[in-house]
Amino acid sequence: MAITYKLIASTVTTGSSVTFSSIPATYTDLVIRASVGPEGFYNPSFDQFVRLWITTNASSGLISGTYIQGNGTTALSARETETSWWQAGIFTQSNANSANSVSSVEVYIPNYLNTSSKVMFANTTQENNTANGDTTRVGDYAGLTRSTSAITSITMIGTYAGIPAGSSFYLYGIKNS
Amino acid sequence: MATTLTAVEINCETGEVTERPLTAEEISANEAAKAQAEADAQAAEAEAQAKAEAKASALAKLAALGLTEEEAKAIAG
Repeated sequence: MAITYKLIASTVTTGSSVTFSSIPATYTDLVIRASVGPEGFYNPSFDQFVRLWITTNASSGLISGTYIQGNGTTALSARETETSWWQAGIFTQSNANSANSVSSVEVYIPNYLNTSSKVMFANTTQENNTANGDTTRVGDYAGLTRSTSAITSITMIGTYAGIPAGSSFYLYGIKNS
Repeated sequence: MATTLTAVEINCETGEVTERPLTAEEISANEAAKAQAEADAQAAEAEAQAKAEAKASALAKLAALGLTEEEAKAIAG
């Protein structure tokens, strides 16, 4: 039986950004799975959720995106257009609760070799081991890049302080046969 | 806690992993893009939050007038 879901590359990072480059053009779709934490980081200057931003091919092509998020009490939805970075998740919180924060993100990019616009989907869960329910969120994200080139690189960054050390990123390729 | 801005790149063809400090130009470009994206996201979320709070306030006022929750939600949408 042919293997149709294959690990291309992975890393456990200490960097502020992660880039998968020279992505082979031998698959149909791409999947990124990320496990962020368990150690978050504390930046007292920014009591904010840390968003995961993604761009492809070194920010070639404008990106738009729509997302919904919920924390168990409040739901919200928003749209961003004409940007260089696509919001693909929330993966920790840059406040004192962050040490208890664990997040996972999955990004699915079908038909990444397409030479017209390409869509991207992501879902994220973020949980804190605290009694404060507002420190948890789940969300779904849809994005589109108008780049007309096949995707050969994907870069991920985090708002404010970067990506927590010890976070794992996995890039998988999917073949249709 | 990230203090040094570094970029980790994984070459999917060779498997080589390189980690290097970001250049000043990269930091500047990334920060500008992130700041704009973050500002856009926060504005959108603030708008959504304001709408939710306005709706909750309207429902509370309707309830104070004697409407049931079902009746109030039928009006407020």
